[in-house]
Amino acid sequence: MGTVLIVLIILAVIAIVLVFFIVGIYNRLVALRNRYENAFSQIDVQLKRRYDLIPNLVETAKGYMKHEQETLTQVIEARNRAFSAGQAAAAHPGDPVAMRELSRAETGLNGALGRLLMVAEAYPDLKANENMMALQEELTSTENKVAYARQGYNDAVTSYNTTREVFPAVIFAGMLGFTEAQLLEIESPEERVAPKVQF
Amino acid sequence: MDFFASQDLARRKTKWLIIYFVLAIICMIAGIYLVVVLALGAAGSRVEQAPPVALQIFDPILLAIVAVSVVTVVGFGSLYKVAELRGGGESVAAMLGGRRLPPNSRDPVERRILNVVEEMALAAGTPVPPVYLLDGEPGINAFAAGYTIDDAVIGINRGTIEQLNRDELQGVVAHEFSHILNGDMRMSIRMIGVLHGIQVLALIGYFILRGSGYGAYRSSSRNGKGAGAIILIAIGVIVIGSIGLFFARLIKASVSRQREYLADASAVQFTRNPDGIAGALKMIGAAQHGSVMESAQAEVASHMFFSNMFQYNVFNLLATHPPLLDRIQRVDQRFDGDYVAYTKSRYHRRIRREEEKPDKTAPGFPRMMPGFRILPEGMAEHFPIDPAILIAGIGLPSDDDVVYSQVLVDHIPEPLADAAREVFSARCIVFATLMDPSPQVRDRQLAIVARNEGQTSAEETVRWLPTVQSLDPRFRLPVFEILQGTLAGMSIEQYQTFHNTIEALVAADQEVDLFEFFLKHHLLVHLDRRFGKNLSTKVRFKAISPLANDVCLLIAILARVGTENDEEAAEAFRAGIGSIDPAWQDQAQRITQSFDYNELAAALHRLGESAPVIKKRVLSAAAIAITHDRHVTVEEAELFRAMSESLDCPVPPVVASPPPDRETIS
Repeated sequence: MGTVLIVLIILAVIAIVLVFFIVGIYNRLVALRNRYENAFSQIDVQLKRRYDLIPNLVETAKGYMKHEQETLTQVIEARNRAFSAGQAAAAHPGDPVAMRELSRAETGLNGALGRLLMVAEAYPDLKANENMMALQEELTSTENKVAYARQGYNDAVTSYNTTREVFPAVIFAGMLGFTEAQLLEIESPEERVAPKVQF
Repeated sequence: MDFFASQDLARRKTKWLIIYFVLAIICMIAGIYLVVVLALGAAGSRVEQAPPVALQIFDPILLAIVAVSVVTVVGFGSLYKVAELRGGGESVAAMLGGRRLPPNSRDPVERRILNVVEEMALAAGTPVPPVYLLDGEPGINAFAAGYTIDDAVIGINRGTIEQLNRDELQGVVAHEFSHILNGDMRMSIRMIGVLHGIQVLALIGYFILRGSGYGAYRSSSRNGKGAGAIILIAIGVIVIGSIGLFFARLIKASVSRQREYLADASAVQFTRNPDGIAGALKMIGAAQHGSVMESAQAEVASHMFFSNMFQYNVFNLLATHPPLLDRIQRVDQRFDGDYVAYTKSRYHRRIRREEEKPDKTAPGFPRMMPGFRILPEGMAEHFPIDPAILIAGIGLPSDDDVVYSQVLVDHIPEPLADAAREVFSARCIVFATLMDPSPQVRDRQLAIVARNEGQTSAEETVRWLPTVQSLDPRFRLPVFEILQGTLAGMSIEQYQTFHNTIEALVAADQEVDLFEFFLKHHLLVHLDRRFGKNLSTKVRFKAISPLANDVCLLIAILARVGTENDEEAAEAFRAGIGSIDPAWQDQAQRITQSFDYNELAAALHRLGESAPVIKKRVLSAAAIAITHDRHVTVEEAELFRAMSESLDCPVPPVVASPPPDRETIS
């Protein structure tokens, strides 16, 4: 009887420690996932603001750029693609497919906007338009905010992924439904003339 | 009961709570010991055919084994949970599945709750706490969680923000703020820990039962009796664990219920609008989902919520909150329990209100003074003030403060208020505040910002410089309260960089002004805690004498502010310090115009670790010193608030000055 008792107690202790351990990992991963999802919502707010600004920008530019219909259409199309990618990503922050799609769409939008602003250089009247200047400045400041929020999101994703991949969490993470989260990289084309704010 | 007394009381109550739980654990040890003895005796008697009389009732070794195991299990379980909740409010919100609302959200429903929380925080003089939305919860409920004001969060159900109107929301938020200000939250988190420990005990009994059932099946019949004993023990542990849990919940519920009446009463006091909180409670009574919580995790935190999350039977023993009708009737005596009638009248009232259209273009900025009355037109911008009123206001915002804060938020220049809710620009506003007036120093500081935070941040800082420098002094602290809530949205890495940048900026600054110093100190102390550093809230000083040096330094510095010369300052110092200990009055020579900020920071740190009663004496002395010349400027009042807040004692806005469109002192 003695040996059975001891074996059972040891088994029970091991089981309890294991359960605690798994619960601990689970809770930590939940907290970290929560953190990066919250971080994404900060990007989301800024992206939405940007998607709202772009039609105004295009509307303003339209009056001056009669011969650049194609560029304007491209911007609007890129904006619409990014908008739906953004919605999909907001529904599943960290999801690799959604994040890559958003990253592609955003990079495309940046490219289209860059081209628009470059072409706009050739229209001094447009450049001097107050509305245009205000919109451009707002766009730049929103981009700065996106960049910072993105950095915060990527930090949070990295710390989640690291926790997830460290042994022994890596054994349970998959079983508990914690998949790898995807960083958000947005390329900003080099040739893009970023409107400089002068002081 | 003032703020300090209720903080003290909360701490004492926490002690009693622990004593209760220790008693419960001792009872459980005794119970489990008895079960083990009986089970082993029963098993032994059948195997060896010995008479049950031979059973030894008192076996010190066995008792020790049982006691150690129970204490280990419960202690381990509690410590584990407490460690898990070390992150404070944020970790509780995460446990309950909350989503942090971005402070700059533009969704109208989210915006409304964010505004209500922001106004309440400014009225109370605390940093704006992050708001977590429980998306999957259709019931009307809310909670406040955290260890201190610094890591507090407000959690709120989707059902709450969608079904309640602004007044009712304000009532709920005021109720939660009362928990924050009364020091209830720390006790609440501890309670989760202890409950979890006892729960683990019952859980272990369950595991042993499963394990031994398996063991009995595997082993031959010759060991069956031993396994039988283990099954008996396991069942005993489950039963006693469950009974323990029952009593633990009973204790939790009874402690919690008292705090709820207090919070309801405080909510009425904060908003002086009994209709708000009563309306919210009535809506719970009328709502389809009531205040029920869907999340399985919510039970352990049930005492943190606004209202009961289960339907309890008539005895209500385990209810963490008093009965709804009782709570409503304490606030609104005429209420007869007809919830549906309320929802109808509410609907009509809403229509009427929309027809009336409240005058949003209200007169200018109201002028208020301590005692919280609007100043008559034409009164001087310096005004006599009673230090006692200043102290009495701490932690107890009044309805005037809430109204004032609403107007205040409206009057903060809009771009600034918006930027303060964006993490990126909020940082830059802080940097701009710390910029030196001299261009050379400022260029050096901007280079630091550019190096640490990037060129775009430096440009943004420059952009905010004129706004920040011309900001009405009354807005500086409120803007900082908003900033603090926003900055909680940084990642840990981003915060570390931010912290280093701030330190570097202050080091580069040639002339730190006292107000700037308090702002920076308050900001970093608060955010350090939010990001998990220095979370300890231990009281290290229960007597004031070891702090004599620190108190004298602080009062001497404050006495010099707002006085013309050293003699006047010395008088103010003697008046202030005399209220603590007349023997310290000979320290008046400490009054100087230059002092070491590091020394002041160290002093504040130690004072922060003193008991609430001591803080009260120090703040009273400070108030006397500041008001000694019978005149308080906006700067002095705001300085007092900033200083008091860096000691974790939130002061409602104390304001006296003409509206901002007139000439202001800057």
